[in-house]
Amino acid sequence: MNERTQRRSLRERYRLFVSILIIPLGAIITVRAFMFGLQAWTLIILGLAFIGLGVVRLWNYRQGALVRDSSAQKGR
Amino acid sequence: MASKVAPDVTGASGAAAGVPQESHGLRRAVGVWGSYTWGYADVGADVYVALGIVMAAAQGATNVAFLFAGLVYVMVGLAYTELAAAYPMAGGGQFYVLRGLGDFWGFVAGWAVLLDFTIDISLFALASAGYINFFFPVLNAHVDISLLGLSFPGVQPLLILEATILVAFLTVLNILGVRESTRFNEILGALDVTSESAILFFGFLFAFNPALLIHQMTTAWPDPFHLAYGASLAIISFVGLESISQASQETLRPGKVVPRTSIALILTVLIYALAFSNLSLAMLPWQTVVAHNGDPVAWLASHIPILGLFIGPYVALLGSTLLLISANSGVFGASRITYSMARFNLLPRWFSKVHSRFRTPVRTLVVFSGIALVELFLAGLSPNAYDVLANMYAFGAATAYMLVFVSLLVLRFKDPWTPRPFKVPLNIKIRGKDGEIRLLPIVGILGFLGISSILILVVLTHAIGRIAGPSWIILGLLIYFWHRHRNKLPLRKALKHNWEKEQLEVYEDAGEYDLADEFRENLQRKHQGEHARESVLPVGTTVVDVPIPSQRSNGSRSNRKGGSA
Repeated sequence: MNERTQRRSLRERYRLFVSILIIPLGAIITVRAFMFGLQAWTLIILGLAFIGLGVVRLWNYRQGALVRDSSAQKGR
Repeated sequence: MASKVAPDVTGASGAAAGVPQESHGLRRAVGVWGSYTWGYADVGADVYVALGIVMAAAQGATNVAFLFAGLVYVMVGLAYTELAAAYPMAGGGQFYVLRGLGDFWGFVAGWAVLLDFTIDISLFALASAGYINFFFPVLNAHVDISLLGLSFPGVQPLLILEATILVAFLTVLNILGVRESTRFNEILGALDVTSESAILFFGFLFAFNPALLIHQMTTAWPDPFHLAYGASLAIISFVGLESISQASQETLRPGKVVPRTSIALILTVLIYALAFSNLSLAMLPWQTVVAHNGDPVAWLASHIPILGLFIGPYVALLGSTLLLISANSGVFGASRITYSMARFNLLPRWFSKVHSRFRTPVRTLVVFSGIALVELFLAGLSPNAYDVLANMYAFGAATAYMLVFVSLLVLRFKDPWTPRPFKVPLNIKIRGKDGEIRLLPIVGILGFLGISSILILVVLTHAIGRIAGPSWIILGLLIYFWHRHRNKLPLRKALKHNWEKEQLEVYEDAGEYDLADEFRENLQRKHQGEHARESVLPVGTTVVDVPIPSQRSNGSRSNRKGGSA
């Protein structure tokens, strides 16, 4: 795990940071929109979309890391 | 973005109706991030223009207009992704329609895309000037002008002059063949993604007022005409996916790279458009955004507490640069698509001439940048030049996208042999007479209906689009028929092309050896099937379709035997 952390480039760290930030942002939008009920349906959709995007980005990041690890092991 | 237009890509397409080949081709040098930023440079800037224009029409329902157009855009994006990964050739939508529907419709699609590229030049140069004027608002001055006995109130002559200078500058750069650095594009793309994310993040954290949004959605909800008008205009914030498919012939491993970058781009642009429209309505009264339709995003950013003080000017600077690059992609794209059309004998070969010294297509650059300037001047006579240009932009995009959907459906049936590394989801399996399974894309049909409804909305609600759009198509058809008649080429029928050979060469060139193997196997199966059907059977023999395990769906990889070449 430590080795993988060391290998993370600046771009990857940035991607990871944004992916993690998007989820609470989506949650804040969704919660605040829900306070106004279904009238704020466009905001609810937007908030959920942010959460979904963040989760997908993290999942993609994890998949990419797994592939990289397995190809590195094969290389050895 | 490479700006030197190479006439033929592999040389293979020179087989197309005896079009003379050029010896140099496009270098495959675009990777994942390069492909993404290539598309982003085109689409990412759209929201900088569209926000103010759409808000002027859809008012309190701006977010709903963006949502409707966004759903259609996702389907358009998926169709482009499938086609660009399956046919990684330069030409984009025009090429897919040519493959699916033949020369005539290929020309119509190409000509509609060409309208968009010329509008791209004028609209984005105008918008870039608008963002520059964030620092010099005096240049936005409206004056009443009288010309040839006609009066034009509220014209912005200085703004139009600025945009004219920008168009001339870009044209000269492209003629000289100054390469727009991919690295520069990548840095700018990253800066923009970061900046837009920062605006949204801080905007939603510190300036977001859901009560204002609900208030505007209830009190400023537009009538159905204006909602339809806004939704059809909102499509302009999603135009530009064409760039990724245009670049697919220069992309390394396009079968893998194009689907990844296209889907990432679709999601990014969609969420930004929805987020900006919602944030605007939840931060500022819609009228104030409309009043700043030249620089709406900078205006929005400047209202974020504390941060707005410096982020406003920064966004204005970034926006003007991005929009200028987007205008440049119009100059570049127009010359490239014209070249591609001339290569397939859809336009006179006069256009495909490359300057001997600069190695750039000077004629197409001058002609189509000139047309863009004419459009700019005509639009400039209106008090809202942005709206006039956006009208025509929406018409061109909707027409081309509609034809792309039709060719997606047709190619699924006509050419199931081409491997499709990415398929539009939700398909119904249909077995053809040859025993091959075809997949009917439900999303493709929904997308066709969606984009057709937008085209109908454009025609019904846009006075300019209704007149200028069809006039542009008619002008193009006159040129097309004149050219085909003059060269004794069939007017309606398509010329013969050896697509299979060309496609194999492109796969090999792209390093897509797996796809090349799969395509060869599929073609072998196709030819075996044709041979079997041609063999004479005794009278009364009934042929029964028997599903064979190895004959799976089109482009199935499960029956592959060999490895990579």
